[in-house]
Amino acid sequence: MTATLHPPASSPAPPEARGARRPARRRRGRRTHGALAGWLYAAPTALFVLLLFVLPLLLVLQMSGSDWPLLSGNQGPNFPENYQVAVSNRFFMDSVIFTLKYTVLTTVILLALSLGLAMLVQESSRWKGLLRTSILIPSALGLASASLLFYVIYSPIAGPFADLMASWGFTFLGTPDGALWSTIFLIVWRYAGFYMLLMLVGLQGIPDDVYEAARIDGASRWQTFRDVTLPLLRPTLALTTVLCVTGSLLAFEQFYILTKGGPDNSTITIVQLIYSVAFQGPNDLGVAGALSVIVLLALVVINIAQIRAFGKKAED
Amino acid sequence: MSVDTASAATTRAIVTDAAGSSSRARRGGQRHPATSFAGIALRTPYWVLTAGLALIFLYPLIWTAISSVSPLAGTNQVDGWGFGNYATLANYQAGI
Repeated sequence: MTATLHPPASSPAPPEARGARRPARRRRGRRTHGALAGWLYAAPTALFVLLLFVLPLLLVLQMSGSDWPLLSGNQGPNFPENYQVAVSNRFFMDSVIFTLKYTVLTTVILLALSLGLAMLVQESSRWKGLLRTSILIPSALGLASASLLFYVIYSPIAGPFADLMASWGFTFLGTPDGALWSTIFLIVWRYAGFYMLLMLVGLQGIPDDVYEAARIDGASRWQTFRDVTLPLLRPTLALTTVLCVTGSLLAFEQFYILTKGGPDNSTITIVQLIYSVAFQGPNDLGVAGALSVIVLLALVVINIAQIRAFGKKAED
Repeated sequence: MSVDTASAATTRAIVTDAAGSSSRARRGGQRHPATSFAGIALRTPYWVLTAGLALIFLYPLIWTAISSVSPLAGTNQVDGWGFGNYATLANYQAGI
C-alpha cells in the first residue's frame, strides 16, 4: 500500500487567499505590461542611438587600434601605433593650438555679443522686432552656404570689397591673422542670432520682482547686471558655453571652404587634420580614427570641466 | 500700528512706482519726449548703433540678392539686369 502525498502548492487555496492573490497577480501583470510599454516607447530612440552613435563609435575605436588604409580595409590590429603616428604628425600640435585659439576667441566674442544683443532687443517695439529679425536671418542659412557666401564677399576679384582691397593692398584671407579673423566674423555673423535667442529665453526667465527689489535697494544698472542678471543667467550661460566650445572645437566647414587650411597651413583645425589624414594625404583611416578618439576624449574632459565649474558656481 | 501701516503704505508706493516705471520701460516709454531736442540727442547713438548692426547682418544677404540679378561678366547675366542666373539654375544639369 502506498500513500499518495499531495504537495501543498497543488491543493486548492481557501477562497479568501485566492481573493488576496488576484490583485497581486493583476498588479504584477500591470507592472509587466508597463515595463513592456516603456521598452517599446524607448526602442525607437534606443535603436537610433545604437545605430547612429554607439556602432560608429565602436567602429572608430576599432579603426584607431588597427592598420586600416582607406583603399584596402582592415589589415589587423596595431595598437598603439596609430596613436603614436597621430601625435607625431607634423601638423598635430599646430592644429591643436590653432583650434584652441579659435575656440577661445569665438566663444568669448560670440557669447558677449549675443548677450549684449539679447539685452538690446529684449523689449518689444517695432524697430527692435526688425533688428531682432535682421540678426536672426543668417541663422536660417546653412554653415556651408554662409561660408561660400563669405568666400565670394572676401574675394579680391568678385567681392564687393575688391576695389577697396586693391587700393589698400590687402586681402581678407591672405594672411594668417586676416584668415582667422575673417572666419571668426563669418561665424559670429552666422551664429549671433541663435545664441541671442538662447540668451533672450534666459533673460525672460528672470522674474521682474528681482529687478524691482534691486531697484528699490538703489542698485545701479551695472550692479543689477553683475549681481542679478549674470547669476540668474548662469544655466543659460552654461548651455551656450558648452554648445559654443564644442562647436568651435569641431570647426571644419568654414575653414575647409574659406581657407583650405591656408595661408601657409596656418588655419588647420584638428577636424581638418583628421579629414586630410583620412581622405587627402596618407589616406589612413587608422590614424584618423586615433585622432578622432583623442578629440572625443578632449571634448568629454572639457565639457565635464565646464559643467562642473558652472555647477560649483551655482552651489556657491 | 499706525507706524506699521505707514511703512507698509510707503513700501507699497515705492513698489508701485518701481513697477510703473518698469512697465513704462517695457512699453518702450521714455522720460524724455521723443520729439524734444534732448530726447533726439539721447536716442541718436542708439539709432546709429542698431541701424549699423542691422546693416551688418543684412548686407551679405542683400548683396547676394542684388548680385544674382545684376549684370556681371562670367555669369549668366551679362547684359542688363535680369534672371539669367536663375534660368541657368533651373536647368542646371538638365541634360544629365
